Amino acid sequence: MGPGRCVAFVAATLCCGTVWAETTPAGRSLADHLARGDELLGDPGGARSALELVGVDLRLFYNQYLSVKPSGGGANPSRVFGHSGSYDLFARVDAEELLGWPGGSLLFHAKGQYDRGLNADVGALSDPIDDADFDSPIYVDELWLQQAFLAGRIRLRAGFSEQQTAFDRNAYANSEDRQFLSAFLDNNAVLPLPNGLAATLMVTPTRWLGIALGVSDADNSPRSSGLDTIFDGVDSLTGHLEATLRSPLESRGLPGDYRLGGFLDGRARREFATGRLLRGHFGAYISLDQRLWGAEGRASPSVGAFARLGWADPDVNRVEWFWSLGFEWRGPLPGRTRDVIGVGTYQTIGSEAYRAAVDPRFGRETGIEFYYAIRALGWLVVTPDLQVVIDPGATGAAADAVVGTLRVRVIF
Amino acid sequence: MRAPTVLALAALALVACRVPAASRYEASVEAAPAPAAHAVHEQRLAALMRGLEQLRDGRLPKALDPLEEERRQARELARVADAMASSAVWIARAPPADLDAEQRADFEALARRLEVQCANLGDDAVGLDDAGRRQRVSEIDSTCDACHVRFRIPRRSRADD
Repeated sequence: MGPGRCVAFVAATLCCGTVWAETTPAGRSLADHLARGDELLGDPGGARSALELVGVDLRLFYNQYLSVKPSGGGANPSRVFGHSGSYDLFARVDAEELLGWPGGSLLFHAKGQYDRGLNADVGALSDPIDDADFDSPIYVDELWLQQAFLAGRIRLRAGFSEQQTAFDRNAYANSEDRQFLSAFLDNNAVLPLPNGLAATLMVTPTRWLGIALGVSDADNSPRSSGLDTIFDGVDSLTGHLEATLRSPLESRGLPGDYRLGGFLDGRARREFATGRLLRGHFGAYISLDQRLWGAEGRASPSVGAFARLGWADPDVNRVEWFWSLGFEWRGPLPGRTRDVIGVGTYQTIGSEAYRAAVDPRFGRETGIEFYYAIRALGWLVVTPDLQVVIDPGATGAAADAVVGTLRVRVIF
Repeated sequence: MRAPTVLALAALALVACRVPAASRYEASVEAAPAPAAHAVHEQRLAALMRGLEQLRDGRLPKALDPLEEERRQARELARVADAMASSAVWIARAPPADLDAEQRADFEALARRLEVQCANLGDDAVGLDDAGRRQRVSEIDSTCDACHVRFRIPRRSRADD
């Protein structure tokens, strides 16, 4: 982005801010709107409120990442700067409000991003900047319909979806946009979470138990519709089954979820010992989150902990075991109730079969991450983040890497 | 046309096309006759409660923070509850024509109860937890039912939703 574009962007943003500020119900000034609003665009012309009134919720976010790796890493051990960015546009539709269709809802999620990041320079198994994947100005990331039955106790979702929103969730470590940046602190390293055509059945038979069953296209190419691969055989579907138990501490104001799941990986993986391509590999995982302390009210200052554990078939996966754990502290300083501190660590543990057949050096990669998400304004979150990756790539070939990142998140 | 030019023109167009301060939502409920506003508020309240109850298990997109979404929706709930309290004032002033004095007094008492319950929810919605909000909305629901069963077309119970 050249200087001219930067100036034009800032000017346009300020002009928009003026317009939006004058269209808020309270008639706030621009300064007041910028200081107190939770969305930069506010309620432009009453459009946001009007859409919500008919059941349409529009949200737009932008994330910018500026990173530096002073030294260490695999492919490029010298000092490296990197930057990347992405936007997410969500349209959530409550079909009951919009169309009088009881229990129906729809999600449309468009996304765009660019990547000049340093993931490749670090050479770790876990991308230090999980959000930096490729260059694409716009693509559809999710488009699904959901139908609820029996007052929401049973929900069926079908369409193009990110299975990571349905399985292996975690209250404190599940979003590179607002929590940890590292891929392995957002999800379980051994768990396949396809992004493509999928169907998920979610059942909540009691308040304390939830069960989710999902099937998804294991072979979907990134940013493709998936129609060319979804029908190529039952064995190329990936299946998930997950049970979620509510924490017994919830009645004492300490919510938590304990998830236990299994998966059948439909991707074709090469067996290390024989070289044969095989599908249908089992694995299992746990994802726990538990609030440990907090004042009354879910948005009050609080401390929570998370942990994950995963196992995948070592005959076809070079990472057999995975674990991670950490903490989140929300509202860490007086008067800063919406700031968040997070600290977490993960480790991947290599497969013996992979070591025996392919690379005897392959062992463990360990990562440690710390972030402080500063809610500078209601619509602006600035997050300094520091990561240390010990033995990136897990082969002993790369020096330990330190990655510092500044994430800026704008809520429009 | 270069990108900066497009952006600058777009910004100028937005300034030129700006609309009055009141949002469309507020305008629609303020301008409508009280019964219509009352129905709109009731539907909106039900939709917001559906949204709030789905936050925990709704499997939201990862970019959305459930706590911030809860805060956002609770503020909207408070706004709708305040608007509902305002429309309840008008309901009390417009009872059905064929009521006798006792029925009229009961009608007005129910409308006032609705006004107070909604005003209280408007004051407290942001600070309440899930259970507290559910309890308050359930009380409002009971008042609505009590009035509609006696004086209006019976409403569909929210339990059926």
